[in-house]
Amino acid sequence: MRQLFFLCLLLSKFIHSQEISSLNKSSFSVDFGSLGSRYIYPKTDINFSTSLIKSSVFRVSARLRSYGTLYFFSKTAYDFTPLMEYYFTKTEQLLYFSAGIGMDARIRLVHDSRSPATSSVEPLVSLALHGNYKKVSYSVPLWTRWYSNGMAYVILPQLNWELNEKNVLFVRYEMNYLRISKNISREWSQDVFVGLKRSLN
Amino acid sequence: MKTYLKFLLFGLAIALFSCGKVPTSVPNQPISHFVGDFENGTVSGFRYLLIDTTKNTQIVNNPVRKGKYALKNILHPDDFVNNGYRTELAIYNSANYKSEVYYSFSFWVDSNYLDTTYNLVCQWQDLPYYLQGEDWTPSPTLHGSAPPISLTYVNNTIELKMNDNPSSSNQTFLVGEPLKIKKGKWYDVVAHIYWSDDKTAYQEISINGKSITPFNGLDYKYYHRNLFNRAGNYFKFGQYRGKNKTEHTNIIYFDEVKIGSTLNEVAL
Repeated sequence: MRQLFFLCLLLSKFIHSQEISSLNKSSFSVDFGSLGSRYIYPKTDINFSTSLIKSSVFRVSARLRSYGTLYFFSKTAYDFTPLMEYYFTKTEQLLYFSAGIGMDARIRLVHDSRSPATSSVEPLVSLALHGNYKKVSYSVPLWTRWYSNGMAYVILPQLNWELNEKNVLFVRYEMNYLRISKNISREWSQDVFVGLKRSLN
Repeated sequence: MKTYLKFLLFGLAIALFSCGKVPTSVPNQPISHFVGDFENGTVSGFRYLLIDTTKNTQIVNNPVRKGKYALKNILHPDDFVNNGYRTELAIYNSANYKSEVYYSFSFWVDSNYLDTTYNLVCQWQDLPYYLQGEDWTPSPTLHGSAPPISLTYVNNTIELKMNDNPSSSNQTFLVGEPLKIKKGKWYDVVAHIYWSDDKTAYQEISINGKSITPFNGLDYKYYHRNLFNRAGNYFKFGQYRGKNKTEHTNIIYFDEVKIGSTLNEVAL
């Protein structure tokens, strides 16, 4: 695995290509997921992403996740995740990196005496690998979130297929690892999402 | 200190103070210890899943398992509540993730009880994983199932049924052997359950002192996952027929409903 990583890094140095076009574009994406680790439960995401300054390596994005629906409007729960990322390159390569900070706001609207869920906001740090090759690109972000009683990590590998200049089809797998520090409780969960991203310029 | 540093520190302080808890259940949270013996002459203390307490429940002094009063639970053909034919009383916070809990209750099937199709006299129903954004009414409804564990009265027997598939309502399986039930007689149920979403979970259930869970070579604990997620389950008793409408009004009596952390706590 380590050898493969360094091979990609080495190869990327020899592939000089054009600027990463998506860095300068604004995009809007929607995706649907329901294949949870335990049972099928619908979730949908709307994501908007744009460069902070024209031709810069800074991008900002905001994702709104709705729970319990395939139609984006939920009466029960949302996650709102704004994120600012710095890209360590401007050119397309087999492997490049980005790092970002943001927050994860959990908005819980359920009124049920059996529910212990509460709304809150947690800081988030993102480290991501990216790569491009012809019509295919990928990204593998690792998000770390801090809570008052522990931490959570989520890895969100996404494979993108460029359908045309404007549209990209993607599949994303998400694996969550939640850890409560004090009583060493851990939980894994996973989801799969399919979506479409559209460039806005 | 420079202004931007002050803003940064202020932002960090806000972020840290607003942090919530990790959205996963803490193991072995305390349960609600409960005694429902109807001796105050009411059905207070329970949550109701029924049309109307005056229509579906009566406090009676005959038959009674212990004390002066018991509950008469009446299910009419048209008692359709929350997507099923039912008249149930529930106790929340009674089956938490990684907790070991004892339950007991006594039931008496009325001599005039007529139907032979299934009727759940108690169940431990799963909950949506609220901490992870779930609730009861996803749209479309993709997750709906039989409860992970229930005691079912069917064809003059009691069966311990479990369900392993959170997305299916017709894949329940029988644990142990059905126990013959005589109408017009008290039966005392004691359930000792360890709740978990993995194979460490077990259930050990006896009726009138006789285990209905099979002997495993060491004891009568039947090891099988009994939580679909870590939100835990909750306990309900009464009558539940799902979508299966009956032609008759049926009556089952209940008494001495108890929940605790030890066998002594729930003993008759």
